[in-house]
Amino acid sequence: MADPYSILDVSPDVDEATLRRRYLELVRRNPPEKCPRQFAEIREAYEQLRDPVRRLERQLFQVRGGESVDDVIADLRSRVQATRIPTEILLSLAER
Amino acid sequence: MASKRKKRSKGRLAVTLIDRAKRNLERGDFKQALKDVRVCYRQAPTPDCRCFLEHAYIGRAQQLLQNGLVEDSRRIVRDLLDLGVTEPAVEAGLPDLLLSVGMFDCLPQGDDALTDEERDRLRVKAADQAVVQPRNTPKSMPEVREDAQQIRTALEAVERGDESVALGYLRDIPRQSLFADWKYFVRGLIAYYGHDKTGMAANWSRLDADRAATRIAAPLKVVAGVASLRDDGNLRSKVSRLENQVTNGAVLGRLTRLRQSTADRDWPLLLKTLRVDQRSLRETDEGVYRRLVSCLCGVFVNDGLVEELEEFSRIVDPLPIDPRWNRAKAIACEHSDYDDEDPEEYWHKYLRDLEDLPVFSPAQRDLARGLVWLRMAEYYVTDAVGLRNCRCGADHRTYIKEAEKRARGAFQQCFMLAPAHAPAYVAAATFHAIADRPEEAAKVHQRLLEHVPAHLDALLFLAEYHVSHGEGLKAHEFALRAHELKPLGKKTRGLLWATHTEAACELARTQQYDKARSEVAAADRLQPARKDDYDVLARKAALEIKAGNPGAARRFVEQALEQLDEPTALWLVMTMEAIRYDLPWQEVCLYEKRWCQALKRRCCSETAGLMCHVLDAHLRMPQPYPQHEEHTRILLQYVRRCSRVKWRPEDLRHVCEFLEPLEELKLLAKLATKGIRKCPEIGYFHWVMGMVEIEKGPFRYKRKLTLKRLRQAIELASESSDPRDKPVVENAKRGLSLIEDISHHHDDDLDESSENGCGDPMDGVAPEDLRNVIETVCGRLGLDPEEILDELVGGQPDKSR
Repeated sequence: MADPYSILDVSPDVDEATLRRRYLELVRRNPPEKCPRQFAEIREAYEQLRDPVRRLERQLFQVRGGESVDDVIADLRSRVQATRIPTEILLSLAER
Repeated sequence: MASKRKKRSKGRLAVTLIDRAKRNLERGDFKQALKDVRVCYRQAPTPDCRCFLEHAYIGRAQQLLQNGLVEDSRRIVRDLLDLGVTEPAVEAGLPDLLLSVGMFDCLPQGDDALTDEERDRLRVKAADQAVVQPRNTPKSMPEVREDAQQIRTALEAVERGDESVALGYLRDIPRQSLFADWKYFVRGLIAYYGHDKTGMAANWSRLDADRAATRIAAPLKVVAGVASLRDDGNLRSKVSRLENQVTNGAVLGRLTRLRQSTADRDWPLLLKTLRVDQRSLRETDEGVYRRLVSCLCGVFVNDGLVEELEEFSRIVDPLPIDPRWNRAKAIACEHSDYDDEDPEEYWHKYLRDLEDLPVFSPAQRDLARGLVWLRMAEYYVTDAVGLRNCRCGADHRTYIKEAEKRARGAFQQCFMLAPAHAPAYVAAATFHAIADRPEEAAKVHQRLLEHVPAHLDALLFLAEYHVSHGEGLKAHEFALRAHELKPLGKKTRGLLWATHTEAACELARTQQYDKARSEVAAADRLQPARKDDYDVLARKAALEIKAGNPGAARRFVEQALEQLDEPTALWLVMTMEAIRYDLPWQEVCLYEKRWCQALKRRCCSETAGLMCHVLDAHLRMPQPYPQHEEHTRILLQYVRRCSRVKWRPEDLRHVCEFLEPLEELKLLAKLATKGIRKCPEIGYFHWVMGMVEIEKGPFRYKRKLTLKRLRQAIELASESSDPRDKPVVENAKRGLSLIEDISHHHDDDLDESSENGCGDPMDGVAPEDLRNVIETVCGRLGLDPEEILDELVGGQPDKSR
């Protein structure tokens, strides 16, 4: 499973209330009937982080095993790709 | 004289300047060339000079345009047009230039002078120009301006995220249109934002390579990961421009370099690149930097690269939870292949770090320290288990003792710091169970229940533990609590039933017959399907005999006899229960005699299966009933007589399970072979065959065959729905790791002997190869290889051979 912090887009020192708020926000955005895969991923990530002992164990003994440089690149690419490029900037890419 | 000199020098100057301008034109320095040739032309407007001037003008205008200085380029073009174009080469380049600077309408002869082919090419260019820079669209091409506006509107709709509107604008653009390319581009762009690689490829693969849309699509493809960032500076800078939309600078290229080093496992290069780039990466995007550091740290830690991690720790800042990198180094040591990397030292240092780590609250700190102690305990347990399973022949007892002592100490520390952390107790109990210390495991479970009273596994363990020790009443309390937690659980019901049955026996032994009967009744209510089983009826009969109610006992026995084709199994159970219920010795002897007489009958699969099943259950208890050894011996004789029996698979399994702990390998192998032949889909028989092979020892077992059997056992048992097959999978996996251990020891021995240079000539031979050699030699000498192997393994070679 990918890094639960990345899935929920929260920092490792996130408090319980923020974590829950973020989880509910993501669940609203990815309801199970429309995005079952994302929903399952979010749910699993939340389950991993909501239990303080499991979270502490994760913090102590898991050194980001699930993520690679490729993931960071893919994520950055995805962020760039998701950003709408202003038409003028887009067209300026036509220059030789 | 002076004016003559002046004229001559002017002429010389003109000659020098024109040469210099010519050189600059050839070199592409149009700015200086234009400056010089302008002076020359003013002084001497010769045709040569004009020619150079025209070339200088057009060259400089194109250069300015390329550098994005359109206004300056336009000014130069105006000067050129004022001068007038006479040079055919300049004339040929003029339409493109005019179109690019938005002065196409100023073309001296209009577009009538152009060939059809050239006109078409320029129209395509004008179309692209009209989309990219609509201001520069020639007035003479109003239709181009209109269509281009439609494309721009579509692009703006895509920017807003209004894809359906954008597609609506594209709908009317025909395939033959000058703007068809842009139509595909916009569609591809919609797919790009939707992360739809197929849609992107379907549209962008249709783009004309020479047109503007292709140039825009190129960096987008790189971002989408469908094209690579080649050594193309222009493309790189365009990708950076896109990155700048979300970060403070370009990082994709640098990340790609780091990824390559990681993939090549070129750690020196990776660390060098990181040392150079880390500051700018951090300034560009803190989030990406932190994730990168984190995942590179993960690579070093998870691959056990302790030295590289040390170097890495000097470059990047530590995480707040690991200020001195001790945690990361400890985990890296755990993953390291080198035995000299010891995590213990780092964990101890990290425990000291945790004492005052500000990122954790005091309660979290205690829990964190408890978890670290648990981690260390598990490390010591693994060490002890590894040494215990080691088959190298060396005496590891001192080391095992030391590792176990440390494990106990670490568990105690954990219990103190994190008293409610159930997994610690479970790990400690498992540690004792593996080392065959069920009493200590029970104590740990008891302690767990003090902190977590509703821990189902602990309740089940304690219930089973007390049942197996014949302490039904004690077991009953735990089984009842487990049953309350999981009333529909098959295991909890089964266990509660067993505790009722055991409690009945215990109560009967102390003459509390009514209570014993009510326990029996409770067991019947719990599992009504079992109340008429022959063994249950036998127990009831034993209870009634004990209570002095022979009539009732007789009825139970008669009822039990009706359940069976032949009474042999019943007489065995009656004998056992008579002993367990402490019946008078005459009663025990009576049933034993009946059993022995019944055993003389013709052997039968069902009887063998039932007897083995019932006796095996008692043999697996820590304290079996007295006389079990004698009964085992008698039953073993019976099983040996069963060579012509038509076996049922279920009975065969019971018999094999009974034979497993008895070291009757030949008989076990024979019956398991029958089991495989009859039911090849039962994984249990394959596992038995594999284990029988392993039991022959490293020199005699057939490695390939054993591996095949164990793998087959795992495959079949994993697919099986029979709960008895669950442990088969685990046991077969253990068997496989045992074979690995044997191979490793052989490899290690090989390494050592080659290092010392004093190895025995046979040291390089694998056990199975050695076996083959021995068989071949024995075959030639007419000897029995099994005998020779027995002597070798036993270490008493017969000198006469």
